[in-house]
Amino acid sequence: MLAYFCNFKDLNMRKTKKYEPLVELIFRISSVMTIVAVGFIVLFIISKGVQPFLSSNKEGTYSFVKFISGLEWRPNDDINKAQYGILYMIVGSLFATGGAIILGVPISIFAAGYLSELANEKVKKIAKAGIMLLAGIPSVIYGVFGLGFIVPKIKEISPMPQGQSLLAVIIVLTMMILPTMIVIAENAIASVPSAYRNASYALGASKVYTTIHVIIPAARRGILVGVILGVGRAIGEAMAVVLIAGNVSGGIPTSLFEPIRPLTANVVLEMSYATGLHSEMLFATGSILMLFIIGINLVLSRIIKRMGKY
Amino acid sequence: MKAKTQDKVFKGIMLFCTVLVLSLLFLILGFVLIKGIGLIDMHFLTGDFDAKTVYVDLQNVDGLNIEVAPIEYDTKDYLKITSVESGSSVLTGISNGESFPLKKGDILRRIEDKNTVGMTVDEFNSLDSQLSGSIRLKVTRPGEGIFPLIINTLSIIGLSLLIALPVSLFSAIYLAEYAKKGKLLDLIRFTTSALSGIPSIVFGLFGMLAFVTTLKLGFSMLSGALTLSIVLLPTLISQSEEAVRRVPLTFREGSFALGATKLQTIFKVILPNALSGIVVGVLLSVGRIVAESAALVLTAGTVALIPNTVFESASTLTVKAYTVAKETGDIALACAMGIVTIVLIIVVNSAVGIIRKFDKMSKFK
Repeated sequence: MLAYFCNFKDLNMRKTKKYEPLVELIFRISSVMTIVAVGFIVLFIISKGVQPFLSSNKEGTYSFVKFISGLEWRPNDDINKAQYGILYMIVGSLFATGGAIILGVPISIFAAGYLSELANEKVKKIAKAGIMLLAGIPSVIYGVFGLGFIVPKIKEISPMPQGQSLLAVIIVLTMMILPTMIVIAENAIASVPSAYRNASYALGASKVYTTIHVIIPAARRGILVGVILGVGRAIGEAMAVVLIAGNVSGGIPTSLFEPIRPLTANVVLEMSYATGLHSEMLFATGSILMLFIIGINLVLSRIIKRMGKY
Repeated sequence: MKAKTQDKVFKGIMLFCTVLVLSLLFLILGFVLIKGIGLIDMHFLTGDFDAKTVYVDLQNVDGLNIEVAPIEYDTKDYLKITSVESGSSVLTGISNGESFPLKKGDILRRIEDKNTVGMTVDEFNSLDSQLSGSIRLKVTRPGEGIFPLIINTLSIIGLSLLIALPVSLFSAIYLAEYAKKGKLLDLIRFTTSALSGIPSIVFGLFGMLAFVTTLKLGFSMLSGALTLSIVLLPTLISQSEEAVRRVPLTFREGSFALGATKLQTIFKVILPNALSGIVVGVLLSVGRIVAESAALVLTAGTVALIPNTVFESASTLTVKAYTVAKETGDIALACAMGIVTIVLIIVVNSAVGIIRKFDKMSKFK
């Protein structure tokens, strides 16, 4: 009797044993696909991006120092006439991102605080659907909106002949990073333990006072995660900014009304037709952009790891 | 007293910021709607994007039996077909050996050897009554319709999901059901979150280098779909993993107790019960692809035609909206395309909301 059951069980096991390890292997291979993808992306882009700085490169060699410190981008088939300097683009990207963060962070913290702590359920629900929609609008549409609405408005007040400017980029980027930052800040605020609130109320503090002085400071790490994601989105945004930045061929911006050429815009503008050294210089631009993104991700994972300890 | 005013000030600021964010939403939606709505009609939704000018041969003509109205096209005055009677000979038109029935909206450029520039409706009618036998027309079918772009968008959605969904599901199953804590799992977690932080333009660069040039797929729908399938991995994996994890342990125990193996449990018990979460992941991916442009412009190209094979270039709606805005500065056309994408995204968002609301697993939370 016992043997029968054992046999039956064995039979059952054998029937599945044949393919189960194979299927599990497929699962396992699938699970490392993200590692493979990230590995390939970094490897492909950086290996192409360092080519122009190697003396053995068959497309010609360009000095890395001139690349990273140059203030002019003038592609030319004649390598002696070409200028591939991206310092002014790095500065432009950083100014635009910094501006968007300075504008966006306070707005998103206050809005998240209001929605999470003070708003009633109905307002909260509608506002959240709106913010979801804002997050889902394609970046091209933001760019078209910037080009058709913000750029003409800036042109009216600008001392410069065109409205495409650092200011236009900052405004549009702020709009684009608000939803991410608000959603993450709101989650962080909502997950502050209610003991904090109750203790504050017990001390006689009002709801608004508690939100500003207790809840938001307690949620600061979560809010910081949102801010860093916002930085990542702003510095990597391409299609919206290329329509409104002006994309000048040189010069560090000295005022908000001056046009810039962000790193991403440089790649989008010329990648489709660039060849030879010019194309490799665009991959070098992409590599610099990727270094920024890698840096942002490392900071992010460190913060999230530290958050786990609390 | 002081505390109270401080409260009021802070509450005011917080309310102001919330209202500001929502008014930005209305501003952008309103702008796109006002600028673009005028262009949206049946021709816009069902027509070709590129204008097409052809010679059309008609047989057995006895008058064209069409009505026309003057229209300005390409800075000249032509005649546009406003209605076609049933049985009209223009419905049997042949162009380059292929059937090319004329329809409402087509522009007559030339009738036999007579140019229609500046022709009045009366002049046309008197000319029309003399037409008989075989005649040749030069006709322009105006573009700026988005039908091929919609088809391309849907095809790229399908193709990308076909590649990304199985990989993501298997990966999610492994992470939720098999993986043990360790360095490899940490690395998987890190790369998944890193992948979601990589900007589209970097994916575009990678896709161009890996698929377009190295694998020699060229600017094609396949290159675009392969690139997007990587873009989709983090969303699909994390949504599916969460869905798998939310299936209660008791379901697994019940299945094991009935003698099912781990694999049978996964495919017959866990996956069906995780379905709604997986569908949410798929819908979020659809939204992502509809909105995507930077990664596609460098991989799938900008040709606004429905390709015959996946190895040909295929522009999606959003990619074309970008090229229109960038190259012609036609804000109205870009906004009209924007309206269609925003409607698609609202549909996707609402579907996600509905599924989450009726998700039966949520009661086990």
